[in-house]
Amino acid sequence: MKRFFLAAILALFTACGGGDSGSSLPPSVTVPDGEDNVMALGNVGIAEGALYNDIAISGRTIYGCTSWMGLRVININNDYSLSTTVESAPVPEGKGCRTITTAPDGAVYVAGQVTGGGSWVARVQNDGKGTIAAPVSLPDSQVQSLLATDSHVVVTAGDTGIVVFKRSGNSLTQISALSEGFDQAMGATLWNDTLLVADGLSGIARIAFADPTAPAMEDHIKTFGTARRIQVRGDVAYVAQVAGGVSAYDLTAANPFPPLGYWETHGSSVDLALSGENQLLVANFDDVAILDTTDPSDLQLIATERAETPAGLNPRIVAVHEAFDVIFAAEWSGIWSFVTATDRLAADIHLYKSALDFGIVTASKKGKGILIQNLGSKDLEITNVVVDHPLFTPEVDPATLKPQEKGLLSVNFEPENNEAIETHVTLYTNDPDEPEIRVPITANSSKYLQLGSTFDADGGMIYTEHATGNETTVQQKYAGQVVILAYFGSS
Amino acid sequence: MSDLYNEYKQAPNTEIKIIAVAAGSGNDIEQFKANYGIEDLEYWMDLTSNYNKLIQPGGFPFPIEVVIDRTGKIVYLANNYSAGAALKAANDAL
Repeated sequence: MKRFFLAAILALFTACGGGDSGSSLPPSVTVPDGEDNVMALGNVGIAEGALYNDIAISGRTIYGCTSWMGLRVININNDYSLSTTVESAPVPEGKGCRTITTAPDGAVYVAGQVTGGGSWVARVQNDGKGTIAAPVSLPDSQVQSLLATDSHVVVTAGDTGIVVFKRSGNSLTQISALSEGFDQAMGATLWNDTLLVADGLSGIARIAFADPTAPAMEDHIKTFGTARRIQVRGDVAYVAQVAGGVSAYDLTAANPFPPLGYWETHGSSVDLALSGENQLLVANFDDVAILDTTDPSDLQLIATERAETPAGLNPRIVAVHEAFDVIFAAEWSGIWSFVTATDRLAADIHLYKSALDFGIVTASKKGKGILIQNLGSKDLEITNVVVDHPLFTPEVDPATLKPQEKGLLSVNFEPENNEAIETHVTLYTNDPDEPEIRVPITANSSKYLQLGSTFDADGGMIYTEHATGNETTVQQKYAGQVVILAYFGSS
Repeated sequence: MSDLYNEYKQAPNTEIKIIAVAAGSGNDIEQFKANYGIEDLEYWMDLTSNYNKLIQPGGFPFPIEVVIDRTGKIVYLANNYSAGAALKAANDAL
């Protein structure tokens, strides 16, 4: 990543004037010694069961939207560690908020959904306490994201399209709405006088926006998968397409589809942020991915970084930003600050599954496997693989993976009886982040959910909304309601 | 699923939320919706094989119905279809 330069500092200083409590900016970041090319500088967690949905940064303050603990206010310290200053600022309706954003002048706007339908939108007052000004109500819309300019706030509201507000102090006044022709308006950005909306399965909606009081749908650009978030640099739009990865579209082309370039995600691309002059940050659900966009027709993965979670669960990164040359990422259970040193070469192991369950096996031999990929910039060496149980035989092929290359961890199981087994396979690697990885193995396990048990007690039951591509859990979306899950499938 | 859906349509303001979960990819969903005429139902995809934790030993993979009460506890879990049972459990949980 490019080092921070003076022009950017001045631009940020100007941008922060309206949003923070006037505190000074932190000093330039210092990259810690080490071998890794992405390193954590700080993090703050959250109470068990609550989740971060989104973050916004104004000055050296991070505002974190939580699922049921209101709005959290966090300070960026001089060493880029993070400190919570307000645990739970109340929100206008319900217990949490859905999305939050910062305007170029530093003003922060937040929105939440109302149980039973509808949403609210409001400004976060500039008092350092996360106090939310009087909200406006959108009774028929489910807010997905916000785009704030120095004069307006655009709400993307799923299948009800977009709503546009005029800013005035702490107040918002609705001046227009556009509801026809949308699939799921999920994210938005401006390109000259055109509002570009990531519109779910319909792709990118192009909306004439020279007059915000009269937005007009022009057309759609087809995309791969579900268009969820969008950013523009120059004349190129980058779209986060959930399972469809990230694509770059030439907005000047007569027909921008197919895209100029494409990055096939190993996770689920749910949010984007521009970084420096040529990089793109991707909240990739499993991790943060850093892409080089120097040539938009050849998007290159530079590095990835996972966030450690309290119980060792898979991280779930849902939002990403850059400020002061530091990456800030919202993971469901915490907010993290990372610094990059992409001039360092490092191996980076990625497992496509986090556990191996052999199910019920009583007699015959059975094998299971996990795909392994080296997402790093240096050869990944798997120096040893061990299972602490005599009935399992592990193997990795090949033991050395070049950057981007894939291999297979296979484990064979020869049962002697129907005894339940819980063990793990351990991989030893030269990944500076993960020199030792333990993958749980279960066989003949009786750990099935039963009547009276807590559904998703370990936070592992993550589902994908078909309409929006949003990742969610029952608790995150419907806590306090009675929920029926009706499964169907072809197998 | 049709009886759940009919009840859901008749009482949209109750605090019962019915979610259809496809264990495969999203490609199956449109066909399923067309077959059963239940376009208004919310759909989720189980791309991480959560259903493995729901299937009891010896049970059939599908359908699975899980009723979760207000506190997050499972009050009904079935690997085979029993007409009206899930809805009764849901109403009992209200």
